[in-house]
Amino acid sequence: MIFAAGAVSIALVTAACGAGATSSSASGASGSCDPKATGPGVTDKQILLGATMPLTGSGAAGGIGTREGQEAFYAKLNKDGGVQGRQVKVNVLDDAYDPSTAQKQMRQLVESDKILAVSGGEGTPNFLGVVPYLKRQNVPAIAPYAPSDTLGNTTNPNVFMATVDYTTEFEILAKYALQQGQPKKMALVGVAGNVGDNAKAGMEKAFQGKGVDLTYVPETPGTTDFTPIASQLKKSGAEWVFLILTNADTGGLLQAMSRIGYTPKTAAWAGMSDDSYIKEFGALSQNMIVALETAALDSKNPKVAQFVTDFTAQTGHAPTKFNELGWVQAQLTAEGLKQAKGLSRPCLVEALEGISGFDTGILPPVTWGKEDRSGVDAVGIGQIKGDRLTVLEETRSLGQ
Amino acid sequence: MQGASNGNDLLQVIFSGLVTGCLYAVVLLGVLIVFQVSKSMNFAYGQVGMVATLGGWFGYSVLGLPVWLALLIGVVLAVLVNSVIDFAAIRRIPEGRPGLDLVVTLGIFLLLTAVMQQIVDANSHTFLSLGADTHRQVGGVVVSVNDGLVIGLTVAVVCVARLLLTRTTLGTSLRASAEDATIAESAGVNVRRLRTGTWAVAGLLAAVAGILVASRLAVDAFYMTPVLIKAFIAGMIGGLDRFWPPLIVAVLLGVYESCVVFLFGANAGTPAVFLLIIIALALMPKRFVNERNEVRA
Repeated sequence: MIFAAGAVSIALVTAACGAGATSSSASGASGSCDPKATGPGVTDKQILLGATMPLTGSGAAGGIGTREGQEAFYAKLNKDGGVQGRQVKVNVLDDAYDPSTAQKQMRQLVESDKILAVSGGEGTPNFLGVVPYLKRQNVPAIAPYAPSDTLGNTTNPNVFMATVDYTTEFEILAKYALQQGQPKKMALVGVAGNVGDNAKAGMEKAFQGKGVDLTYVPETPGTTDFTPIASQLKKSGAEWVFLILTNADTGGLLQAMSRIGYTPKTAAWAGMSDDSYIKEFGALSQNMIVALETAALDSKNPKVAQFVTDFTAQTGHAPTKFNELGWVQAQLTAEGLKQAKGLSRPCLVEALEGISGFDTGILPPVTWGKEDRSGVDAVGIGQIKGDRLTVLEETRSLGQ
Repeated sequence: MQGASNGNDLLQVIFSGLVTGCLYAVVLLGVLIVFQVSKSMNFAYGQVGMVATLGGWFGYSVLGLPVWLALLIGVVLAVLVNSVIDFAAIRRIPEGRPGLDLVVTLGIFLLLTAVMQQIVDANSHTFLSLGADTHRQVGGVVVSVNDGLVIGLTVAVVCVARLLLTRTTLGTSLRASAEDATIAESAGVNVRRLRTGTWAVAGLLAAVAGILVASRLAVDAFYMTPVLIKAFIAGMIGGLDRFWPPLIVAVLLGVYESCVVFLFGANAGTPAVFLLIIIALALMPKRFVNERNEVRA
């Protein structure tokens, strides 16, 4: 009996050790880089990456554009010889902007497709839905577009961000607005939850000690009548209204504000710098100040001009902002793979931690480190004039 | 002075809620006539309006068709799509399978959404303003041409529907086939043709509602969903087998929702609407609910 129990105990301990050894050597990003080891998704000919994005549903426009940007970059990269002698393939699955769908799809990518790493992504709530899983599985995620204060720090060390979170974005935007005069009353209309709360926190930071009253109106996407919100804003007497809403809701609110004769100065998050917004809602958004997370597509920067040429050559059409975003996500992922001493997750993480001042032209220079996952701390400032976006400042950081 | 301003703000909110409520009522009218004739709920109904409007936008904005022609094509599309939903799907559901119509139309909802996103795109677009930017102050309330158009069309459409149902032979046939299709058929009523006609008219109403909603907000593949949900809620509270009560509830629901958002914030809007359903179901006389169950069965 004692012998049997002992045998079972030994078997269990052995099994546990074996399991631990398997997970740390095969898929763990933790641990040191062994240049000879290869991670999941890596063969002699191919490196498999993955991402989830909204390809259907209300957030599909961003996801489809981002996927196209990534695919165009990898197509060019593969034509030029790939990375470390291998072709790079990216599997992009549809998460419909839904956190639970994103979790299911990410499990598929990690456990069934066996990807090496996550290449970018688009959408905050859906990406936040997979963050705990990626952390448990030690899968590195590179440059997802998911601005949130829970990312970009060592709480989630496997996520390497390349865009500022909404707190920083709105702090920079609000400071810019303060420099344009002496406003005493400002308002923010934001998507209820993490997104709106982060933007509000950023504005509050900017207004500390400045004697500015901030009215915050959280909004739920799918509002059918914006007049009550417009009336609330008018009642608050806000001289500036900041917006972090979907394209349709931003347009709907601006229309309602105009209808009741309320015309404050407006400022909005980087999504409103996209051509698809300006083309449709530009007339309602004249002189709106917008944050620029990526360079303007008509920028004089030679790297941006090269991107436009390369993307157009790959796809046969001019890029959009979301194409630009997808392209730069893939570019940063590829840079990590190029600099990695070996094609395993620990080596990729080590390489990413060594990236400093990497200039894509599209984003402000990207820097990561052992304790730094934020990537960038600046945005540009633009203004909608006519049917164009005028760049007021290429890059503006918190210190300015 | 401040009090007067607050009073004007509230009046403005009530008025805009009234207009939004009218939009709910037009959508609900289509749901009602279909339910009363074929005892089916069509979850894809909002998407039928979306097909008309997004299709119309695509026609004039991308294909360069004259606006009137693009909208006409959109409306015809909506009539066809709604008729096909009945002919190809709803009619094939075997009797004694309650709830299957909901599942089937939910599938059609997803299908129509995916098809339009593929053909057009997944972006939001501004639609014809239909007078939304032409307005004047009336008693401290800003009233736009679009507001007048929505209210006027709602009153006209509802009155015509009521007259058709109660004062014409067609209406008598409709009511007869809604009561008992077998008896109506034996009395010489062509129930199948009548049913197809009803779904086609509902498609037309969906197109009208879709165009009106888009002129006030924007058009994309999902923009009708929140409106349809509110219309269903008004139907649940007012009774889908009735005429005036659900339509009045729809208009009042718009006012209620707008006032709640204005007074308690935008976050309170959706919970307040669902709270209203719970309260209505709890306080509604049992006779009222039972009568509806009989019709649904």
